[in-house]
Amino acid sequence: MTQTLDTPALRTEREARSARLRKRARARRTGGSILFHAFAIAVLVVILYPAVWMLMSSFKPGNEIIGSVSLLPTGGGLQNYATALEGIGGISFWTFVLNSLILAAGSVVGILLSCSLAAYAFARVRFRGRNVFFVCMIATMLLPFHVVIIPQYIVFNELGMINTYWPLLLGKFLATESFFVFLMIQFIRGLPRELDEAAVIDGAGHPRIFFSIILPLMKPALVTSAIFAFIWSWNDFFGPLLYLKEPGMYTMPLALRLYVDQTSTSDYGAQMAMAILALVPVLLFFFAFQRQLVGGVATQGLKG
Amino acid sequence: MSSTKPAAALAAAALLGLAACGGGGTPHEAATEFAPDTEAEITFTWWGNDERADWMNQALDLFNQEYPNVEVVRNFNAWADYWTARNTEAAGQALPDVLMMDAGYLGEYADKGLFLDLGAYEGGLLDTAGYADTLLESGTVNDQLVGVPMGYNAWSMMYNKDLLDELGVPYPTADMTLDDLEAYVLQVNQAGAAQDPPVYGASDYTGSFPGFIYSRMQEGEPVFTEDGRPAFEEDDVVDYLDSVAGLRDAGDFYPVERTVALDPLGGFLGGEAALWFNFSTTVAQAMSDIGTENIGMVQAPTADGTHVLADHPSMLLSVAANTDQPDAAAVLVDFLANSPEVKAIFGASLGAPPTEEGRAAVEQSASDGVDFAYLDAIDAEITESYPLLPSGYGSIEAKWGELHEQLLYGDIDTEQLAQELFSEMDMLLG
Amino acid sequence: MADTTIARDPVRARARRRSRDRSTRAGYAFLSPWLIGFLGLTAGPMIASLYLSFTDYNLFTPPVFTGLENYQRLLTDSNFLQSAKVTALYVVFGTPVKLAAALAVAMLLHSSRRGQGFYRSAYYLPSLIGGSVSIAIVWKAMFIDEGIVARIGAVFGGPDAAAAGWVGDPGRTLPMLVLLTVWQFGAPMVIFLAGLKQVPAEMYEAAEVDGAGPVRRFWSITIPLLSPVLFFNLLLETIHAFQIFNSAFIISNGSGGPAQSTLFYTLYLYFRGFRDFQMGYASAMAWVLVVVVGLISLLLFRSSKSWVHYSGDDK
Repeated sequence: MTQTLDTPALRTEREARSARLRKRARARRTGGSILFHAFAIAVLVVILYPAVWMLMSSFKPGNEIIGSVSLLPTGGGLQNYATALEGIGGISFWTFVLNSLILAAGSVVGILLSCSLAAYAFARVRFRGRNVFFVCMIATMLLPFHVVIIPQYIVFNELGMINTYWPLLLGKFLATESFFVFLMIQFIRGLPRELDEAAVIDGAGHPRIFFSIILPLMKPALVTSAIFAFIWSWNDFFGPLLYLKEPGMYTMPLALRLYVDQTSTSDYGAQMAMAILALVPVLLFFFAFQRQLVGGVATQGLKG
Repeated sequence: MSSTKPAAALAAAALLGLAACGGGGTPHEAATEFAPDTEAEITFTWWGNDERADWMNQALDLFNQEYPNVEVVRNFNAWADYWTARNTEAAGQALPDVLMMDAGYLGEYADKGLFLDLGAYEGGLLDTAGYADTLLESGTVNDQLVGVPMGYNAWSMMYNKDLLDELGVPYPTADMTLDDLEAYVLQVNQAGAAQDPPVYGASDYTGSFPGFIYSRMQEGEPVFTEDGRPAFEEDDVVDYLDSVAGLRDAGDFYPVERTVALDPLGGFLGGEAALWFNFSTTVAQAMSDIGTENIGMVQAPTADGTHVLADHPSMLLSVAANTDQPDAAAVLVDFLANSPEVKAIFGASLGAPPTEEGRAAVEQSASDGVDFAYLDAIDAEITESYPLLPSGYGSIEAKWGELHEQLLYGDIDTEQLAQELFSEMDMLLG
Repeated sequence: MADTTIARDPVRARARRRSRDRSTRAGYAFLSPWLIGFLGLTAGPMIASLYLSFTDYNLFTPPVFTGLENYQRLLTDSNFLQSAKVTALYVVFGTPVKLAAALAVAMLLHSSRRGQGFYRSAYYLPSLIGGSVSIAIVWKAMFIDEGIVARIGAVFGGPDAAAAGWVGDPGRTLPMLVLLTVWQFGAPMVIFLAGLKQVPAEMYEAAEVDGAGPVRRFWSITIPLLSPVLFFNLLLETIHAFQIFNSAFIISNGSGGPAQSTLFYTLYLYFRGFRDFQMGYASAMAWVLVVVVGLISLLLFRSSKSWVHYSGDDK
């Protein structure tokens, strides 16, 4: 087992030392700092150009978007946004937002609950068959999901769950997203074992150790998982496409597609505007939590 | 693995689910009366954009004024997603009660027993008296009326008047032969070469399967046999494709690279090519994408300048065999297909209304006007039903497009294209 | 884990067994959601699809057992071979470039300077946007004739921008999609950043005192200490690259074009399954993918023994 001790005390000491180093370095490298920013901004421009183009094109008239090379719109203004906010076919724009939010929130809650339980079992409890299941868990992380969609659909159909959020959420509550289980296992393994050993001596059982010791310490891993889970659910297109039939149940990515239809007229402007609007919540969510994003990734890597 | 047993049990359960599918087409007593206050709940699904959804809601509100206790649960998808969703539903015998169908998929679904025979309602709850026989036939599979056309259109050649005016090239005419067309394309190319970007006559017009069907129709040849096999040979495909080999090899068509770059618009819709070959209803799309109302429409040229045309159901309404409200479903189909108020809402966007009464109710938009005028002009030439398309047609049509793109890139020649197409059809139709 | 201990003291043995039983009970209790999900949503459907792969099944009528026919057909299906080729190229080029970009940016951002948080968020932006349905239009606009890429290319002595678009050139659409995935380097970047945070600064300090230059420090400290993270990222990104679907689907409008140049494995699988309803054939394709991905994972795991160093390795 990996035992990178990362107790608060050690961390402070390390940070203090690197702060000293930084101070020395800063004196030496004011020039380096300018270079850093110049470089970082150059990378930024390259990376963000498409994003800016996307934003700008949402202000262009619908039939000037495709094949257009100019960055700046030549008129059109906020019309696309007005169209997007009108909703589609009597369904309010906010219904789509709400649906996406429900699914994203549901999948965050489901993943945090079920994956933390599973991760604790894998990382801290000794039981028969654990190693076999661990291998299975890693295997499902690597499994192409295409192999299970058709039978899954048939099962959900038999259960009468088509056009409900169940098929999209059930898996989240049953920890099928192994990536998160794995992320949490890694994090728990990085926590000092002395803590739960002490609790065992005090007579605590696994439930108590989990809820009162491990879970609170896992907060960074939970935050990281929540961020990824939210973003993935928000952007998921294929799952809702398969399982949601009623536009009133649609999520944002699905609703977006309704503006462009190859058999009738298409409104690329409104689609672009809605795409921008669809990004707002995910951007807000990301910026609110991005500080904690790195903290929850323990880095011992893949190790059984 | 210690998990084999329960997993196997679950797999068995899943497979039982699979085995439960199939069947359909249960006999029922078709009612002839439907009291306006009857209570029912039916589901209805269509494809289309936001605008169509608005119109459909208006139409369904009208329906509810007449039948206040029939609740219509509405769904819609974009075209591409529509079939993914319907196919998975069909697998689970869970199709909506009423659904919009396309001619390319009708045969496929009907063959699998997924649709109710609406013939039993004809003359009763369903009025098809004003429909042309040729049109009704295209909704009939295995002697059962499984799709009621909401509208129809016909194969056509559209041209961008703004572009041609700018280049000083006269508009194409209805009696053009294929040779005339070739000369016309070259004429536009020449006039448009100086433009930035250069304007072309047309994209390679052998690139779509309906074009091939049109060409077969001129020769009086069928495309598919009764039992859904191809009624043509590899050589027929090669000959058809080679008929424009001169233009293609000389690079006189709108470049495929540019078509791909402008996807999903392409040359004509992107305003860089003068001619477009498609069903007449798509003129609305053309006007909106190009941003002009100056689109003209004539018959697509043929070898001798005379035409054999068919009315193509642009959109049909079908009732699922698994419905438990067949009568209410038939009433909704009748209302949507025949009510003049509904026609007034949609104009020709679902195809021109098939009945005189329906057509009269439409307050014509620019695109409706062009479409109707064309359909009126060709009325005498519509002597055929659009051929019934077999199971798997949707895939064949898509395959034709993909292979044709490979041809344009020079990856394959026309013979290879024909070979590939046939091996694909073997698999899909076999 | 058979019990081979010979219990000399029956009382202690019983106590130990009781504690182990309790532990096993707790283990399964904690694991039960995962276990249900695994059996019901993964293992069960997998076995069902394995069965389907030996059948002719069109979703509408019950499956008909056909033995190995689907697998045999794969070998002669030129589309299948094309899709395998496209996907292999994408994996081989996309994954290393994306990881290199992620690592480079992570190293740039790791030098804790002011604005680091801002840059990190900004650099993550493409990963948030990349999933959007509208990205196809945006990405193509960058690469068409006269697009920004063609214009920059022309400035640096490339061909005239008016004819230098990538979009219609089958030879360059795959690179275009590779760049699209490279552009979304956010997730591996975050994981690299977390890894870099755990590389003790004093090691660099010591190396610097020893006179090691930045290149030496990178190869002899950063890479070895980062190797577990590198391996993790490599494995995940490779697997994801095999499964690329969304961007290919929306960029080519679902056609795999132009001229099959973006006919990815999963896109072809989707065509066969959900467009042509050849579920048996699609299942066979899915299983071939499972086996290939499995073998490659195994290979990566094997190779990792020689280049991945786990800190505090006590095994």
